[in-house]
Amino acid sequence: MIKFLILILGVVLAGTPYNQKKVLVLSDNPAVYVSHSQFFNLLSKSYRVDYKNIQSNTFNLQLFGEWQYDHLVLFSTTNDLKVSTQELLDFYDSGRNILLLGSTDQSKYFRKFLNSFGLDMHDYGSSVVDYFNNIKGNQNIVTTNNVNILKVDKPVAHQGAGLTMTPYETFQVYGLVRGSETAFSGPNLSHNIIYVGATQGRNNARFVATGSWEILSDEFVNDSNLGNFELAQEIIRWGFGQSKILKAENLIHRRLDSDDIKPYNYRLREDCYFSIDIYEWDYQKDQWVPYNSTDNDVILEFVMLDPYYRLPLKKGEGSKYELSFKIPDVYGVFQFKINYLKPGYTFLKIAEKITVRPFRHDEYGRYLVQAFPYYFSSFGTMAGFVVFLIAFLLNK
Amino acid sequence: MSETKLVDENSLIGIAATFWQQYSAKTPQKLKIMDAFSLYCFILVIIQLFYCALVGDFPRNSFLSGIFASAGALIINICLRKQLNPETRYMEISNERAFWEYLAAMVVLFLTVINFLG
Repeated sequence: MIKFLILILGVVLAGTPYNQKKVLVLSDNPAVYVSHSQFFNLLSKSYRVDYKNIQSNTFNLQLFGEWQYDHLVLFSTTNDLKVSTQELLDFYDSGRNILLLGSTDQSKYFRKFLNSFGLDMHDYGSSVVDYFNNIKGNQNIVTTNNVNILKVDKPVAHQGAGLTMTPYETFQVYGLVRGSETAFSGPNLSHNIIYVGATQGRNNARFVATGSWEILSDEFVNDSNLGNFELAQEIIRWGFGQSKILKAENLIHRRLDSDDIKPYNYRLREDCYFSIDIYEWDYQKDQWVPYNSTDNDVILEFVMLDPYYRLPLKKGEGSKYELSFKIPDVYGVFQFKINYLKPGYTFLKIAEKITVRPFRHDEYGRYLVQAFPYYFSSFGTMAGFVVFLIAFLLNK
Repeated sequence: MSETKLVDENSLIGIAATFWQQYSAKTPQKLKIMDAFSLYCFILVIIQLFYCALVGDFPRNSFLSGIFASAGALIINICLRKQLNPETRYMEISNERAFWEYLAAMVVLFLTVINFLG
């Protein structure tokens, strides 16, 4: 009876907030709870939020080897955290996401922490200045329309310092909100200044960092002419792993004319059919929906040390991406590889090994037209030999 | 008075004519038949090489077996002819024995060729 009640309780609570992910918010300035109240409202809608003071001893990221929180929001301080950078990086390596709101007077701890994600904060005391795209003529409050990956329609306002990517842009580091053409800050110009930067690790964990606290503060978020409210929503969605998540399943490869899935081996110059299902997580419908790739950019590589083919997969019905092609004239151990690194989406890296055997000795072509002279000469020699024998032996 | 000669004996045509005349007169009939077969095999080799130079040796196995058949038959024939001619024989075995060896060699040659021809 008790077990039954506990079961019912578990089922009921599974849909309630008790099943949501936990977010830890760390800051050392209690004024932040007032100035960013809209942001925390948005957070609380989908997560269980724990507010802790950075300097306090009452929180543990890890307890007996288990991570206590699923995501982390850090407000940077002028002092160091009592949690070591290594522990934060372990948190990130375990697949959990981090959002860091930086400021230009943050301590070296945070600057070094940013560096391990490929981002770099501007110098102490600097701020981005823009004389053309700004609010009410105040050149320190800059706006920009340059938003990638996130869906924000209106200009985004920012006040404070910016970030740069170090040392150069890679497929993992994204500049989510970049400066407009007329912004500058010290030696950095226009699009190289990043207001909100992000790094997606190879384990698909996401790290979002902003150049200042103000970009998510109520002053900008409540302004309906600006896109900061949508930006806050999108940062929470994208940064904490709700949007642009891909999943690939159900890899099938077979000979084109047969139904056996994944045969033991293929032969040279055989026709091969490959298909895979790719899904995207839809946070509104709370389920996986078929992924729609624009312009055929999921590419299948047929690799043995070097790619022999790099062909785009064609979209079939539903979530299926499929392709049929002819195996090349080389035998060996090949791999079907999909290396889908679209900016903003989780990385899809798939490899499946197949073997390709050479012809059996009875699979070569026979009675080829090109070889007729040779056939004729061989049998002609034998015929001539028989004629010779008759003439030789019957001659006296 | 010396006999008038139709051609000059020391020119190339003279040499060829002399050779042909001596050959027809002096070689026995059996050796002439062997020479005819050898010439036939040789022509086949030339034809195959010419074809290979034109088109390339695509089914290499077939090319090799064709050449091997005709050139091998040619060589075995030459060996028997050397043996049968008392001036040029190189082993002291009887003619019948030489002929049986010739037959055995040809049989092995043709077996190989048929196997390799595909």
